[in-house]
Amino acid sequence: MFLFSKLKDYKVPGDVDEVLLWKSFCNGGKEALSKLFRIYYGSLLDYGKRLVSDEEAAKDGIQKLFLKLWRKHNSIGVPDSVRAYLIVSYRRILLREKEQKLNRYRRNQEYLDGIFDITFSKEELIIQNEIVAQKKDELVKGINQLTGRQKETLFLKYYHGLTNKEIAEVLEINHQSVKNNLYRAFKNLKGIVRSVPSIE
Amino acid sequence: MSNHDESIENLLSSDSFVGWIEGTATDEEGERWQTWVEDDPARKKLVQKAKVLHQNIEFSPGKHTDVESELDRLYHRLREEEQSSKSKIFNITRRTYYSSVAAIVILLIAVMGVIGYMNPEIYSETTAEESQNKFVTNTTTDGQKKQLTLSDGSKITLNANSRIKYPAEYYGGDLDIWLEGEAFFDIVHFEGEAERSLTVHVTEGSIKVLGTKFNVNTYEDATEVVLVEGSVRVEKKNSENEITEDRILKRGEMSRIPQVGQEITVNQVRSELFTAWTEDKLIFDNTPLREVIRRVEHLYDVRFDLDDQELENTPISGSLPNNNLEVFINALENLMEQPVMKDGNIIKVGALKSKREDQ
Repeated sequence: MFLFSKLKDYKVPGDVDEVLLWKSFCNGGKEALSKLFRIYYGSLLDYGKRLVSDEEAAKDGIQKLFLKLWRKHNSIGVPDSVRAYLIVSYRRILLREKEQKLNRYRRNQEYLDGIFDITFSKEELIIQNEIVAQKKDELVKGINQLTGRQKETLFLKYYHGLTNKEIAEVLEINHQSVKNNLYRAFKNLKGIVRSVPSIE
Repeated sequence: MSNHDESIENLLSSDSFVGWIEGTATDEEGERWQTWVEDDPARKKLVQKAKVLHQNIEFSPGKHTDVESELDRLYHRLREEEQSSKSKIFNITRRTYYSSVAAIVILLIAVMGVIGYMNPEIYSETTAEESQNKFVTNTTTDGQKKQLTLSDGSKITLNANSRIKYPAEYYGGDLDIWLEGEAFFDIVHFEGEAERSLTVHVTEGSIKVLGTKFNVNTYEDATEVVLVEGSVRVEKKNSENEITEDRILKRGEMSRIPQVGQEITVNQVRSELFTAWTEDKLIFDNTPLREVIRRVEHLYDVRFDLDDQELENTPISGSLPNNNLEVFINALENLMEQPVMKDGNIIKVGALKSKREDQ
């Protein structure tokens, strides 16, 4: 019915500040650079270390990202979403490094599918009390059984709060493919809530 | 997946639905979902289940205690880079020592010439008749920009790969300038006795002004005039140098003086997009890549090689540097989200992809 109505723009909490921050960064503000670094360092690293399975390489990638941004600070505009913009650039840096390391220049689907193929521990997933303890194991297991691409999509959606459109930009695939990935992921996970009683 | 697929997986893969259950949807969208739920009692249970699944997927952030040390590392590298770029500038200066001297000499001649014609007493020994046909020509090369200041305060900024010609001596009255390439004119307006007109001659015709700010670009087959302030008259001339058509421009208008056989066109533009180069910037606003390419090819004498011809329609919005090709390429790469690489005089866009496919 209205399931595919026009997507709204994703609003990051306090995104007005973010625009101001970004602008003062573009004007050469080193304080703004430090602030952006402090805000995004942790969440970028959480993503990066899963992409390259090497925390030091993920940290080097963050250094490269901010060096690159600083070099061109006076020639970049304000992105729709700072977070999505940083993730897109960061992912590209890490993959380029990884490609060089593996001496693989051909980016094929099979390879990309495998890049996020890591296993989440129970501790890495926050389980709300709507699901009883035993269901937690089921959900962790269910997520870990997804393909690398599906895991990465879920991570971008639930950890970084990106919209489908932004995820499409990060993964360099089309919007419909993001939806298909989510669809398949949820199809595999929905069994976990089958037996949850509805709250009237 | 169809619009009638009422499943948890379909609901949760829709940004609209997720926005609604998170309470960030617009009122209009929220109402639509509300109506949809109320239409069928079974949907309430479905939404409940979807919410539970949605709320339970949450990845916990890692504990990072090294933010400050990593930030220190970044600043250390930034300082190193700043120092190495300083020594790089020094190297470039040394390498281009002779050409720099030549440029200064040309510029000095130009400035002397300009001062000369605005202050005729310097040339008091020469008579008007003797110097009538003497002109000074000033040129710029790739990525170069020059500013000429007339003694009356008027300024002419010459863009890269351009040539300007003006009388070597000036005895008051109307002034004629010949231009090939691109220049920005900021001409002071004098009233009463001191009033004089300035005419910029281009292949297709001329631009006549009293005092105003405007940009003239003859890089293409036609001449484009963009008026920032005041008013100018653009004239189209035939091969016998007779005026065949003229138009008065108002501020913010762009006129195209075409080659023989076509009429002058005038349309409204954002003049700052056309004058940004005077501040070493190129500003684009949803400009197709082919327009960007046209501009840059004239500025740097480079050619573009697109990996995919479709790329030429990519809309470019943003500000790119006008005075440094390396930085320009870097910025374009970022705006295009495609690899951009320089290979001699050729700039390859999307070249990395084809290189991969070749292997």
